Amino acid sequence: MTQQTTTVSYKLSEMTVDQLVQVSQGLGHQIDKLRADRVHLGKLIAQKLRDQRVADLKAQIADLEAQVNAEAPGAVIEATAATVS
Amino acid sequence: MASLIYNRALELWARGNIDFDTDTFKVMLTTSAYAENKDTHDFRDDVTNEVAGAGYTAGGNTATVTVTLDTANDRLDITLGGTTWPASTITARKAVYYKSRGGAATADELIAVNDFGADVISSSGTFTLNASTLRITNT
Repeated sequence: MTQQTTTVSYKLSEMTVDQLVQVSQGLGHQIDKLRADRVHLGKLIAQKLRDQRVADLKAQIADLEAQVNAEAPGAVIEATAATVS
Repeated sequence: MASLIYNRALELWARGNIDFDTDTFKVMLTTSAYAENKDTHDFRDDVTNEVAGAGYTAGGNTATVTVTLDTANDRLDITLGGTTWPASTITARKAVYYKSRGGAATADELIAVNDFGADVISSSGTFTLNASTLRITNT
């Protein structure tokens, strides 16, 4: 989506007090919006980090589940020493 | 097939060519395809179908051997120590113990084979081989 922006230039020194107040208020609104955007971005970052941690843990669990230990039994192997008469 | 002592090992032992106290012994793993023969198999090169897989090195691991005289029961126990293969993927049916001379397989005398009775399988885990005992009973 393309966003079109129109830029209008004013000389602050030629503006009336009312106009300056309006500009100041406009800037205030922009600052408020940027702050809100920042909070939103912070939440998105936190969510993505949580998702990544969950994905990492799931991968670790999968690795652990794939590990199979094995134990081979020992044996007693007997030989007899007998007297031959 | 059952676990057994190779006949040649008994002869070599009797002739003083095997010292269970001081020699170096190793244990290797084989698949079920290895058909041990206590009469004709005498050196490591007679052993076939050694396992291959992650975490396992051909020739196997060193095994600690101890000798215990049991006069109460009139027997001598030669314990062939166990070992582990960590992080291994192995399918093994038998463990073959041999005297390692550090060189060619044709020089390594076979001692005994332990048949597990079934395949033992590790997958990216630890393969543990428990110790076995050669028991010479004086009847």
